[in-house]
Amino acid sequence: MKYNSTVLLSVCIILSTSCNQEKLYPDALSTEEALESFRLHEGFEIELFAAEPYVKDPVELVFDENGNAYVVEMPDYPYKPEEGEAAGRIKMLIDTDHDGRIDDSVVFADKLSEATSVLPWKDGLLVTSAPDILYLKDTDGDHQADSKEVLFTGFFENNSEAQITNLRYSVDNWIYAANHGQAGEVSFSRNPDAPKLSMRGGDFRFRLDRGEFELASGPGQFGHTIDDWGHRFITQNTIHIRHAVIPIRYLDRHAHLSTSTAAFNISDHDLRMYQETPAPYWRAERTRRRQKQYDEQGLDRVEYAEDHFTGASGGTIYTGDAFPEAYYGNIFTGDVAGNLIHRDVLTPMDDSPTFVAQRHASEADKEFLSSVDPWFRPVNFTVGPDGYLYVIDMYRQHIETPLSIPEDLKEDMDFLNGSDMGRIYRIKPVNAESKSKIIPKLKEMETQKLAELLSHPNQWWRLQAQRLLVERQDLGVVSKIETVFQQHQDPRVRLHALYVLEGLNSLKPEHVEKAMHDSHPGVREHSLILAERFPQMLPQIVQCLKDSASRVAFQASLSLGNFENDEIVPALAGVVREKGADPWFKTAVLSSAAGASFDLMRTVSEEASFFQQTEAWKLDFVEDISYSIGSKNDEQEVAAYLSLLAEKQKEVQEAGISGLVKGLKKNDEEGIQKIIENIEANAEMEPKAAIEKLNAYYHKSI
Amino acid sequence: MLNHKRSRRDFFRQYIRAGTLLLGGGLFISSCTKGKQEQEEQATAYSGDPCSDLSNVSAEEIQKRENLGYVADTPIADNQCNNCNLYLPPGDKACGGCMLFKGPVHAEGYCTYWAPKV
Repeated sequence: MKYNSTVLLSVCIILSTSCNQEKLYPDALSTEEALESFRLHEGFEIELFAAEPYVKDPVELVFDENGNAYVVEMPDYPYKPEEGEAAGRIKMLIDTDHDGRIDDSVVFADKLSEATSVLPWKDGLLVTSAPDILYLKDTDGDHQADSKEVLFTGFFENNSEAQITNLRYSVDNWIYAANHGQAGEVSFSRNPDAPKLSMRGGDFRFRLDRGEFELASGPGQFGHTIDDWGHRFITQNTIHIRHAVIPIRYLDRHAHLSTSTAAFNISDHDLRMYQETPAPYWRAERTRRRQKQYDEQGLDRVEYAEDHFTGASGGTIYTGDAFPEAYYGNIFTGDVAGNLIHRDVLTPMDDSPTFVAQRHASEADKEFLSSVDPWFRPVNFTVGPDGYLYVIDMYRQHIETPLSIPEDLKEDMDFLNGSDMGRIYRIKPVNAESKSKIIPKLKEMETQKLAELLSHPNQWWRLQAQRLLVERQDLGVVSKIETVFQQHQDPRVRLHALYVLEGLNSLKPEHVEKAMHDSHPGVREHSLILAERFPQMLPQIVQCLKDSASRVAFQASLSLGNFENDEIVPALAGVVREKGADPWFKTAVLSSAAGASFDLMRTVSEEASFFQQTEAWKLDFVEDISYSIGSKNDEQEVAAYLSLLAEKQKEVQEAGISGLVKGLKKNDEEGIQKIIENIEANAEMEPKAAIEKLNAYYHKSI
Repeated sequence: MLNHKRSRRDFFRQYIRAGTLLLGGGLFISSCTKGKQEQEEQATAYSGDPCSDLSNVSAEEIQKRENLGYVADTPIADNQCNNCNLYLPPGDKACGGCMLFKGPVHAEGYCTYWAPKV
């Protein structure tokens, strides 16, 4: 009897636990059931491209130049594998009967630690696998990598959601990767003498054809996409779309800039998303606890369990030729917690170099796609050679860092539940013709034929062709590319051709000059970047400050700062007067040595009317340039600047002293630090008195 | 056939769970040892800055903050603890705190789970 009671009790506990777990977290759906779980925008349909057992835990998909599909699998997530125990894989997916659905796979590479992205390059694949970027090649044609080169090493590697990932080839021939700004000291095996690159705060970009590597603006997390014109957009868990407005190479031109902000949240809608799934138990409970803590501390903070972006991933610009034209250039972003795909329509701003991301009117209160299956985890996307949008679904019961969940809530959670599963879907217009039988064969294509592909309506083909042309370095194609550049009607094609010339080291000033007068602002914008290499083009760059397109004028403002010439300061002063109200233009000016100087401030002031009205943006500018002048602490310059400030209105003096003091704090001269302490301690001190105190110090010094 | 797949999957799942438990257990033991050593080192290193004083923080919590990549000085100028959504301002205490781990936090600190305020 006692035995029976024990058995009964055990069965009850097991049943209770089992029922409880079933109730807390639903189990997986079959692929057929999962397809039924989707609510998709009218006019589109979704079909299965690949699923387990051929793909498990996919996080990225790329198609190489021959249309081979390579998928990155991340089965170790969310745990960091032990040394030698990594299970990450790259597989080539195979559709043996060409019915558009994968029915076989070959492991290209395995035992990879936290591999997150791949990019085709010179008959192989570049792979982000923190702390490395690898170059893997199959040299004997068996579809398995037998050559491994560690190209770069030293990247941060302690948070698989926020480390080096998302390799993207841009129209400018640079390869970009998101790094979430994490610290690291990166070295390049092909150039061991190059100083290590400090990654603090930056993303990464490199060129293997030139042996160059440097910081890129960001920071981007898991989601990174680049439009036809080289504008980069990044995804971060909560902020689902940001534009990397200023390349970091401009922000780093001098060490005295008051801001390092390079990226901007461009969403015009709030964090609201429209999910069809309820918050899982653990999230609802964690939210309740966090909110209680906020409330107890009297914090004006709201913690959302659902319906607000929290796991935004894989933002990808649609650049294919299969969707209706209105979708070209839209950004699709997954939210892995909301089990949905959000769409943003990008619109360039007229008076600023950035964009606005908006919901389409048809999706004002719903998403492009949402699922009722909480296992649906759309981590990334790609646009295929067929022009369709491929959705990479990691398919997991839970997708969250265990460290961020209270211990008691984790007791019912198996973070690896679903690591044997994974789905990749294809979204296409309803009744669209199947293009799965179009199998690109670019690898064997003659170079002259590749040049023709630069005009393909799908960016996938154009970029593959550009990359292959640059890889091959066949100069016999230069004349044909020049013709494409000079004559093609599509500005996107002209830009590809311009950068093929650049990649073939065949770029001439006349190409750049012609691009400067192109009818499309995107081409003009890049002409300025390229003109930085030709000092004789400075007058034309100055002319571009007046360009009607704000992104062109902005790029001219940035490019000018790379020159040293008497024309620079007056030109940049004009930018301040005309466009300084926009913070990006202001930063563009201040990013250069000339733009952050006393000379610039004096030149701006020469127009008597400038300070007649002291709008807030002008005071911001004064504060920022004062910071730079203070930070540099060139005694002659500070002295001259103080004399100039002494003549200005009180508001200008206040802004100037505020910035100057902040900048001067960066140096450790005892005398100046005492004056600063005195100024800061005396809150009632008039700015004039502060100027006099500083003046006395600097005029005594010089 | 479905049943067969299901049972194979269940077996696989249990296998992974068991592996995870073993791995997790191993990590736990290792982290306790390492955390204790580091706690002692940090307690010794405490030199008057209350935000660096971890003498009242358990080894597990010290290990947790390390696993989250906490550093007292942010590597990213625009992202630091006091503009993170998970930061708890000091109020009447000497230092702020964090929703993810216990113990004092530098306002100018950072961890790799930094989240923007929303």
